[in-house]
Amino acid sequence: MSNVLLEVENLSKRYCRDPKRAVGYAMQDIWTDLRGRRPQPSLRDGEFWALRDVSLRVNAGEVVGLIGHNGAGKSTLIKIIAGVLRPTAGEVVMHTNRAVVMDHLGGLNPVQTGRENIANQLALYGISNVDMRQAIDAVISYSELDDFVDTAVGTYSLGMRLRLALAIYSQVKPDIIIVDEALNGGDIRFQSKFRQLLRDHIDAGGAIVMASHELFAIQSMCSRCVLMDEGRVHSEGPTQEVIHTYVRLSSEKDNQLARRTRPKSIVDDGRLPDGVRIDDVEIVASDSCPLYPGSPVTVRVRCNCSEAVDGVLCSLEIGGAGIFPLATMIGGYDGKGYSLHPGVNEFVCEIDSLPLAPGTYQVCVSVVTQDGGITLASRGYADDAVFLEVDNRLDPASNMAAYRQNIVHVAARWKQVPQQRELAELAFLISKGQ
Amino acid sequence: MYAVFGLMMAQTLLETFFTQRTIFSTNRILIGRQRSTVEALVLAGLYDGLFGLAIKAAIVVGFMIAYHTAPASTLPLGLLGIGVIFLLGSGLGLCFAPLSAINTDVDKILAFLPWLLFGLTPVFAPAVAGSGMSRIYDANPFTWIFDAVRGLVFGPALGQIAMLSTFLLISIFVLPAALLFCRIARPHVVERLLD
Repeated sequence: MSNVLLEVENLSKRYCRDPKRAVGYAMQDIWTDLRGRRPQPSLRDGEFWALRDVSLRVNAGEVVGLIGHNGAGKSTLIKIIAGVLRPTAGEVVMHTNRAVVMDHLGGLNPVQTGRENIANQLALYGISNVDMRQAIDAVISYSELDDFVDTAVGTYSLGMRLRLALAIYSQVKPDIIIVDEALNGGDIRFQSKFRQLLRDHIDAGGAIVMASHELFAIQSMCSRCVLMDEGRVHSEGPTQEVIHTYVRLSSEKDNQLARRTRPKSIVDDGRLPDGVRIDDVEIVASDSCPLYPGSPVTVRVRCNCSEAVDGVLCSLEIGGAGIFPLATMIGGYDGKGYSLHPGVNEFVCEIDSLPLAPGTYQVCVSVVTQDGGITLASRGYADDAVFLEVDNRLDPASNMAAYRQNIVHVAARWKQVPQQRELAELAFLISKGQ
Repeated sequence: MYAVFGLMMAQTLLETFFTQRTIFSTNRILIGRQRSTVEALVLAGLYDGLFGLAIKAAIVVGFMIAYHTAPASTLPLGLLGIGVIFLLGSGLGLCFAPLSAINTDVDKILAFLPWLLFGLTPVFAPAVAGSGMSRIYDANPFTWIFDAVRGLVFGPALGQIAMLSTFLLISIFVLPAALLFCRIARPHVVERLLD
């Protein structure tokens, strides 16, 4: 017997951006359904694909993470799986009828009291009248909301709502739990209790589909991840690899945005004297690997000069995350400065260990005179931005640093100090000669 | 007694119409977050309407006792007529529920229109036969069922059974058809109600 609990086949869903057209399209779609026909899988004016050809399979005992940027299609996919929305094309095959969706409101009705919500939800999931009273008491006890259970849920805090929803679903004992960002609410105790419930659920042979932006939760819970981007499955596989891809994708998107909205010049090129021009800035890892935090880096600056100039400095500035400069490295200060000769001149800046966290940074290179600090040439922000892209390694710590948009990379070593009792036991064993 | 009973019938029709017309917008939190059957929402609305009807019936009985008004022998058929009004209001409400949920203009029009309609129906006072008002009343389809039910409860019942049967058939057809329509429309409506 197959242990597949959920299958999603070539799922597509279109939405309409224009509210005026949306009403007409809704009536058109209802009419199509009334005639028993399938909607045409094509876009009409003002529509876009919120999901396109998404396929997914979830087995028993598996936790599948859904990650992606806002608007990637995660929530739409969950709503279709939950049966709230109908797909434009494709199908969802659920090999169980016990699936619950946990979102940030838990699907509770704010007008009803906690007790009424419990009764309604339990009834919806098939708890019989005979078992109802006992189940309600169990939910109240689990949620620890005894004093508020006869108050309208609308007056509850977000954490209280989630506690109640969690307590209800702990009684329903579903086969599939679909979590849509629900881990982000509630206090530490609730989150810990929730995660324990999910782990118990997996141990009992259930499955979980978890959409979250909390990569700590995804890393700790999910064995497999699906990265969604612009309504499609971008990549799928082991969690670490997919998170790594996700972080890279985020970086690429930031990079594209930065290129589109190029920052203003920090140096007015119009004032630069003629004769010196920086032709090329090359940034490479000295060990010929991709650029990682802590990598040795070589920056080569090639500039063209029409006449000889003595006493110049070469400056390399790095900025990012709205801060410029983050670091300034100036060459030539330790003597009489460099000399520029007619023709091509090359300067090399070597960085032993790049102290930058994964991300995209901008680089500005200048050639200035030592006396007076007159800028002879500048390259970077003005017309042709130079980007420094620091990749993240395929490990959880690096993924997390990239996801949290750290700027500085600090090489550190960690270890755990044994407790006094453990040290005493160790000393005892040594003294016994074991 | 005429006005009290007329008001009871009008309110029954209006309340059931409004309750079912707004099932999607009233339950948007529920239907937007979990799969829930339209039938459950409709049944909840029907129970709500039945509770209101019971209160109204008690008030009418109180008035009948106070004014020493005896019901006609066709009272059971009259009660069936009230049931028909109840089902007709519910069915018509369901017919407009999807459009009312996704189009605020339609929603506002449908909130106002029934009141206008009942201004042209013999609810509070009878119209003199053959008068202009009577002709306006006759143009309103609800006049026929209201008059039939009134006749069956208080008399004279002559000729009212045919009218009751006609409206019974209409309501028996309209309610399931409207329910099916809402069931098909649900996911499309939910899509437009998501926040």
